[in-house]
Amino acid sequence: MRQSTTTQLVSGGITILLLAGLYLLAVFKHEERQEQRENEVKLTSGCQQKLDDYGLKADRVYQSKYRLRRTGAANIHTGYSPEDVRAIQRGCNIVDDLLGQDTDDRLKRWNSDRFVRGTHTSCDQCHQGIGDKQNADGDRLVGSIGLAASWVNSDTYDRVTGLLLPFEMRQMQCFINSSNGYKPNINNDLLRDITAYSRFLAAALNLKIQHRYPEQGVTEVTITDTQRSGDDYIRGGEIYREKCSVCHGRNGHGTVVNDRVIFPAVAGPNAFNLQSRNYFGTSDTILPGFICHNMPLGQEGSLQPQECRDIAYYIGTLPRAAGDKAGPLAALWQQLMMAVIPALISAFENEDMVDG
Amino acid sequence: MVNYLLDKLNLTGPQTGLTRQDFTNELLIGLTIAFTALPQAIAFSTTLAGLPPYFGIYAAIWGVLLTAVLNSSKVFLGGPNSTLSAVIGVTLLPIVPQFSTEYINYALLLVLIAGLIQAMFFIFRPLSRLFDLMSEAVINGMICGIGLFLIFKSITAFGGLPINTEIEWPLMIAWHSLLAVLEIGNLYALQIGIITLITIIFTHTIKPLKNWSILLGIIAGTFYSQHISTVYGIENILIEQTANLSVVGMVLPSIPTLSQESMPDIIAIIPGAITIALLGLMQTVAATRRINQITSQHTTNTESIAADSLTNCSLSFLSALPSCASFNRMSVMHSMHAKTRIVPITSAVFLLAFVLFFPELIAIIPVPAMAAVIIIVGVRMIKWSEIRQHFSSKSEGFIFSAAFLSVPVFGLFGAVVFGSLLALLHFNWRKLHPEITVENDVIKIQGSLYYGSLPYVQSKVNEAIKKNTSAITIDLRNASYDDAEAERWLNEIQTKGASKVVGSTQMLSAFMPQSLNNERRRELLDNARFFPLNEGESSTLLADGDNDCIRVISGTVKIQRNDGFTQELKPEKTRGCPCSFRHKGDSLIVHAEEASLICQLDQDEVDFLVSWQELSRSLGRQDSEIERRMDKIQKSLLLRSLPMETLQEAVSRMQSISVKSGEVIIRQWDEGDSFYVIDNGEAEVWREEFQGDEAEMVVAISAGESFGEDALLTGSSRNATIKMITDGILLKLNKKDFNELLSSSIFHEQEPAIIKAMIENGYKLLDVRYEEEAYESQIPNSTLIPLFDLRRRLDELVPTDRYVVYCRSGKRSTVGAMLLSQRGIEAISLKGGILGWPYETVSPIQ
Repeated sequence: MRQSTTTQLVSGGITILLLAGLYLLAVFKHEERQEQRENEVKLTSGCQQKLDDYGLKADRVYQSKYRLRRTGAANIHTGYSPEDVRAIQRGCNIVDDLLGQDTDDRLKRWNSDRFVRGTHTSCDQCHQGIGDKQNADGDRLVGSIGLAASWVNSDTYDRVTGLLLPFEMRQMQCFINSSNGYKPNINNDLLRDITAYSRFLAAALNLKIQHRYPEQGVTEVTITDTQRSGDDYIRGGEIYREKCSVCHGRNGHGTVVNDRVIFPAVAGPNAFNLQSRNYFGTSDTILPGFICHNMPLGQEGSLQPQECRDIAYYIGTLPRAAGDKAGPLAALWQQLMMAVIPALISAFENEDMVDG
Repeated sequence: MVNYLLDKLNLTGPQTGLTRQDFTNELLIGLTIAFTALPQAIAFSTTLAGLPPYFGIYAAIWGVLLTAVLNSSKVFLGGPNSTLSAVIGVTLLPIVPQFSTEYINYALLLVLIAGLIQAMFFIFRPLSRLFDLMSEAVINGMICGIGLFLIFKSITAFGGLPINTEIEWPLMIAWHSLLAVLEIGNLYALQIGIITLITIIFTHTIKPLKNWSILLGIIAGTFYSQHISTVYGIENILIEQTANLSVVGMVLPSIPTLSQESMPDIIAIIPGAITIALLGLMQTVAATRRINQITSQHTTNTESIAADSLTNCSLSFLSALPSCASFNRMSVMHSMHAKTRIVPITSAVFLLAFVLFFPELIAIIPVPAMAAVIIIVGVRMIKWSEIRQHFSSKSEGFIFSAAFLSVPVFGLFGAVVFGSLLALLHFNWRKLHPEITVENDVIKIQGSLYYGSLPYVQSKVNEAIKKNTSAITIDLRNASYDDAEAERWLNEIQTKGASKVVGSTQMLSAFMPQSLNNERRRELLDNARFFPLNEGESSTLLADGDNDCIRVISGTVKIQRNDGFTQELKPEKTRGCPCSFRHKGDSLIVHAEEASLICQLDQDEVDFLVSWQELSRSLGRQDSEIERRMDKIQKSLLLRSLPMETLQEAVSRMQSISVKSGEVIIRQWDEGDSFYVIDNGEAEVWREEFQGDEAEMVVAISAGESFGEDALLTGSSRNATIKMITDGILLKLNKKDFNELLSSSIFHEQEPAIIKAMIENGYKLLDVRYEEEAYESQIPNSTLIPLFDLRRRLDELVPTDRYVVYCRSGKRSTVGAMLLSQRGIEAISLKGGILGWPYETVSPIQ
């Protein structure tokens, strides 16, 4: 009996030490975060330009330089504290550079790369122009998924699920589906900073709460927008190879130069997964809409609706990760497909070339 | 008054005999159970199921009460269960928002559907056999996996963070939760959780507080949370608390509603309902099995399943979580020696009173403390000693790991499906592949022979036939078959002449006492040797012992003994027992007149097995536990040498104690006070040459073996130290009983000389051998009633007469004498039997 009591005491002691260690580690991590919150933020070049343009600084009131320039009169908003400014700056950095490719310190992006599986995705690949895409004249573009317009219209009911969808929860879907990753906890600074940035953009652009703006979301391209000749992924493949593969690669694996993502993957392990609404099988209007309004870069709007749908269909046929909700078997199957299909395709394509 | 009430309720089973003290003890256990269940119930419903706390409490009240009434087992305890609660959360979170009315409604529906699915297992009985196939390795593997799952699941609540995900399976998500707790968790919540954990761990090591440790942990956590909220203000610490319970009354009726709109959602929750139903029944059936093992009662699986399904169907109308057997609380009950169903009923009543009068105490319990409780529950589901046992065998280790890994890989529903499939596959694999060993021209088959395993067996046999030019022998002594297809095949290969079959059941019955059951026959066959002989073949047989004899199973043989005696033997002639050998070392030449099969066996062994079986039968049905123990102690040499009736008495006086791995049962040089038989588990014998020397391990002993008798017999100190190396159960007989039984055994048996005198003084003679044996020789004026028939024909005896009972060797007769004395007839057994009877015998045939 005595022996078992000693072993019990020893194991109890070890457990208590472990718990104490856990607590101390938590205190250390919390302090690290707190320090990071108080640190000056080093902006990426894109953010530097954008935030300077909008005149973000800590002050009692805020007046948007952009708006002043565009309309000659600026609204007066409640100003931002230094703390708020840092949050907005961090948020901008995250949207511009989710994977922290412009910084050595992962903590500067709140370890955001941890929530992404793969090495490509960043917010501004879809939410272009760091979430605020404008043309040379400073006009916001239709269907460019602006973060500001999303924010003023957030906390409404989700169109697909019918559930009340807070802005942070919507960001979760970006994390788990579009970047095929994990959810940050809803209390994470990461989400708060992105919200702070989006909210600041809304103030800078003078958007009104609950109003709908043309840049909000993807303007969908439905079958009624086309000549109804039917979607065809073979046609889509041809257009893809002609117009898209220059940047996104023949297999859709993107372009990476010196470990920097120049053009993101649209298929394969680094792209969005099957649960994402970008996937043609989940929604056949969203990716076509995105392509029509945002692609190819610099020639937006040059593609016909039917072409957009065909390209999206073709991209949908390329293998990609399954997403956690689909379960382990689907995950395994998709991994297998991602390994096999590109090899198969390249084998047959080479043969064609020899024949030709 | 108390006794009257107990009789009226019939809660205590057939033998009431409950004293006032026992009754108080039962009440105390009830109280302990109530307060062990309370914190767990709240934690399960809030942290795991995402439901208001009263769901757990009602399950702990009404679930416990209903199972106690519906299940006839005396120490069965139902109530809320961690796993089932976790399934509710996992199933509903992706479908409906938490805290909404739909969430509660769907939860009730889930319980109802689970109850109905469980009822299916009751209605279609063969389905419930699935649970018998769930080996311990599968169940323990899944339980360990679920334990780990519970720990991971409660990490976020432990750190005061909102639950983040509805996807349960990838391990990476648990890792992210842990990192989130470290980086952004609420430090006050962590403090509360850690204080709760440490209190539970600490109080668990103190024996009197052991059963109360979780409650004490919750109290400590709650006190600390109250303290910091008064110091820093509740708005600064932001600790979530359990919801207010003051609205809750005795019952909160609820109706699970079905509507057209909710149909897609209901279909979506069906996998969850199946998971709850199966997981609940698995645990209940495993618990029932274990109770039947450690107590002397027998509850069938069907009854437990019926009780569970009915309870769960009712609970959905009482706003409660689903219920199933609770291992933890049941082991508390068992360790405190609960005897009756008063325990669960009191526990329910205590809880009801507590909830009615002190709801505000429950409302201030902080959620991190609840999460700590779940972590403890999860950790306790992972039992290292059991895991180590499973890994001692390779295949079991594999099954265990597969079942364990299925939880993190497939999630709860996937794991249940996978676990069931695994169990079925494992079972079928073993059944389809009997063990086959080929030695030259003999094929030994171990396992069952039926249409399923036939292809495999056939392929092996055909292979052997091809290899051998001569006929081969198929040894079926360790095989079982009662399948027509297998029989046809056996006949076929025998008529083809390619092979001979040894040990099929029809042949066994030809030369074995009819009353032996198959198990005993098999045992007998293990000690018998078979010789197939072709026509004209001869063989020399040598006697191993004094009592060896030869039986002819088929054919005709001529035997020639070394003293010149010759005899022709046919099957019908050897049915009695002509001992063809005289002494050890005798040799016989057997000459086969036609193709025949003969068998050589020890007649003493037959005697022993016949009396053993009769003794087991005489115990009757209610004493299945004693019968089981008797089977267990067959291996113990000391007990085996005791007269049978003493043995039975000894076994019924034995006390079953459970011991832990590493526990020292007896210590060398101590004074001996009891004798032990290992019922279950393994131990090591350590001996020191002189006191204080370094001890050396002498031998390892296992189930069926006994120890501790030396010191009792000689009265000296213990001569060795016995240490358990696994957890197990021992049967303990104290010194007083041991001495009493040993000395009393002398009374019922007497030497032939004394018996002779007794017969002359009017004792009647009773022969309890088989008729065939009696034809050979009998003591004059004996009545013949074979032992297996004795109980039925006891009326033929005159109750006022006194009897001398005898048999061949004196083993069966002690049992006979015992049977008579049980009926109040004075009886004495003849020591040594007719073999040791030096006086006159007659042969009734002549």
